[in-house]
Amino acid sequence: MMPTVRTVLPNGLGVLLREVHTAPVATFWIWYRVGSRNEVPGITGISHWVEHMLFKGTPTLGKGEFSRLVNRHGGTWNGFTWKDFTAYFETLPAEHIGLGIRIESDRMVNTLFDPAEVSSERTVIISEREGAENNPEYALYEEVEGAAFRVHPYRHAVIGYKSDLWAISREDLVRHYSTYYAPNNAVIVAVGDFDGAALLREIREAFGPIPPGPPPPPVRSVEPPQEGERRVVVRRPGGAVPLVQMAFHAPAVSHPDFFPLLLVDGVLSGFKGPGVFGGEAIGVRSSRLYRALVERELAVEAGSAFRPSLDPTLCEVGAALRPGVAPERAEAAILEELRRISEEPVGSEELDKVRKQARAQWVYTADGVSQQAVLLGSTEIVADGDFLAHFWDKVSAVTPEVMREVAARTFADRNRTVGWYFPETERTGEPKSAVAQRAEVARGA
Amino acid sequence: MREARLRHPTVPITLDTVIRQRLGAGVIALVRENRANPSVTIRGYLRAGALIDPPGREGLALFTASTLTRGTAAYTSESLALALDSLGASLSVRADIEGAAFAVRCLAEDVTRLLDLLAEVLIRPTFPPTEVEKQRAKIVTGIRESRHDTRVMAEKAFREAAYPAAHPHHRIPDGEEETITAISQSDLAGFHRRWYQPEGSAVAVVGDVSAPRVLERIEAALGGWQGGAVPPVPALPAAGPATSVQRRTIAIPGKTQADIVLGVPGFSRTSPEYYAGMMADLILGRLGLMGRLGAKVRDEEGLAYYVYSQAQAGLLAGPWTVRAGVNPRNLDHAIQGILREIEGLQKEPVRDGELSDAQEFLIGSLAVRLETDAGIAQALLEIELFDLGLDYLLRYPALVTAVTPEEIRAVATRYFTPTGYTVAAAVPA
Repeated sequence: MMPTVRTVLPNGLGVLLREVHTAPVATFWIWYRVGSRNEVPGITGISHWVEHMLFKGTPTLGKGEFSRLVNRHGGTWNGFTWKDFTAYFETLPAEHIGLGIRIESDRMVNTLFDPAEVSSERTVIISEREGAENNPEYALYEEVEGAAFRVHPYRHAVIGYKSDLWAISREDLVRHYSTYYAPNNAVIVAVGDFDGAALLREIREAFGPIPPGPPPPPVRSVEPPQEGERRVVVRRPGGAVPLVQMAFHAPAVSHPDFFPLLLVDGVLSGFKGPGVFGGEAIGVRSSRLYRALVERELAVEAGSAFRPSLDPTLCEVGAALRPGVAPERAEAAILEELRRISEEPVGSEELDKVRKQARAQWVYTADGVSQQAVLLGSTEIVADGDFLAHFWDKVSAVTPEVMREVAARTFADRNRTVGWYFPETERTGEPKSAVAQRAEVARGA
Repeated sequence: MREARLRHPTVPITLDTVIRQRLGAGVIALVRENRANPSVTIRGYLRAGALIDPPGREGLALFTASTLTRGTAAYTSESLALALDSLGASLSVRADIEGAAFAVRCLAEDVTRLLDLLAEVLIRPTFPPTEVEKQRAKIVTGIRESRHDTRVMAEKAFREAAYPAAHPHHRIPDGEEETITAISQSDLAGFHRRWYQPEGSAVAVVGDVSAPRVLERIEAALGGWQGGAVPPVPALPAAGPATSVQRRTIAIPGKTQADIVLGVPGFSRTSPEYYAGMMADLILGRLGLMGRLGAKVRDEEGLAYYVYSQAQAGLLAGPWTVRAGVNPRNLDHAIQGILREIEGLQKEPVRDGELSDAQEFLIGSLAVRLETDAGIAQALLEIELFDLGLDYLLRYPALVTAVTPEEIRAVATRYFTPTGYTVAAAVPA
């Protein structure tokens, strides 16, 4: 990958620039150190809502004009909110990258929060939540996460609880925005076909005059150690097959156990990539969980997930079961795999396979400016520049014995939260087929 | 603001930068070197989509495609998976209505190996009975799950009402539980023998390769692929613009949100109306924050998290639809809002610079769409499939800027009428 030039402006704004001249495009990102991690009960979902409001206009660029301006210059744009951060981007033909600077420097401080816009966006966000609620897998995950974390704000979903979404006020949104949207709480990432020195000058000009804010309040709550297995069950209609999910408290990116566990996750279900997001899993079908559950016809899907995060997080394992398979059987098969990886060191051939997957993912990430910017920005927020610089040393240094030790610590019984979903059919009956329903519509409605 | 249109676009696909060659048995190979990154993307298509599923065997094309990697002459399902996973590579084959598509990603050092594995999967699958049963169970479970999925059920109900029964778009390509159950191992092997033909197929290789050398490798892997004549595709019934309003509602237990599909049979990729139609679609529900639909139904009225339009223009005239997810109590209100915007497009096809916005977006965004190896490979296949010519991207700006407001009005009026559309909704029971 091309080198990255890092600068911090006097107002505290971090700037990471990477020149890539392979295609005439560039991408401009701004990452704020705020997400659902910074929310307390009563205002859950507010970081995501603020993100939506940043598309509602400033005194100089009206509602819808950001997106229109970017599209008109051949660009794409979006924003998203995660537990640890909120990010916005514009990807454009390289000569128009200045638009990203103009838009992001404007809405960092000038977002309007018009009361009518706040009100129409409330129902849009509730609609977003209701769309997710249609999916039983989401419903189960919300329960598992909530049970695994009792104290730390990772316990609630980024979208927030519905009652909070009904209650959050314009004043709450403005307070959240002015607390966290300041240059000293943000990092700019630009990757693409530009002259770095010239772009940095433009960035200084646009963002330099914005004064820093007071340091945002730290997240105070620390999750205490779990002292025994926790179990949750969700029964409701809306799904066809039972689901089993497990969550284990797992280290933050800064912990020495992080890299060994990243490779353990790769052995369990294929290596997913170096960053917080992105990269389809490679190596799924020869992985241990796939062989133990899908090949043995207990599940139609099985996998695990463990990604870098700022605070201690969860390592998750899940399966969607074949019809007629009892969750006990699938759970036992998962636990057997976790026992095996906790007791027997991974063989060198299997570890080489996962390391090659890691190398391939690393290379694939460099195809396209957007993927590079996601990797740079997300890891800058949850870790620091050293994370990517030393990624390979850390991956190479992991030994099978250390992986075994870390697996044994992570997958200990007392550290486990288990969730089962049962599709309920008795109460309301199976959904009617389209054909049957059409006959009814023709008769009545 | 205007210089983008006048500037000669920098395009990665031209007659000078792409090698196109017909291999022995008829496969078209397309190669574009890109030495930026030590990886390679391979994509391709075959004329083996669900539109040729025999009656009673709906889902056969998808079932066949998904079973190709589950055992070949030289590999069991597990040994093939291990070979791919040990290279950090991916290889998949999927089918949709119009064709089957394959996708490979690997490190540059492994490209020869991957071409051999690709040939193995495309030419020599064995459909082992145990693997067929595993795939069948997976597909059936997927179909059962989709019965609880409001988006899929709205889509199915829309297609059933909007297209005549013998039309491929009358159904989604997955098949039904009964038809998947009826498919035998010899159906799969027979479908593969008949339709996985070199003639009519194409493979695009993009990435860190030497074009002449990789062509030799493709030739070595696929050149010996012997095929018969491609059987003629059965005649398809016409699906013209709708002439009546049809409403369908499906109730599904355990749901909170209602999903809507509202639309009509649209236009094909080769239709003379294609460019005007794409422009109309952009203005209606794509440009900016989901076009006029997004501005009204989402932004102003706060009714939906998602509301957008999409014209699926392929070999066939696919559906031109608006999709939205809303709270059930807002269902009628949202449908009325969508219809008002469709009527608005007919009365006032462009306003406030929408046409130049759409044109500049299409032209300017070429660079962004073509910045990855996968983006270039996909564009090469589209150019090949629709016979657009390797100079297409150079001609493209002129094709886009030629569209007039009158043509947009004409296409919007011809396809959508106040008395001719289908609206399907899957709602909480």
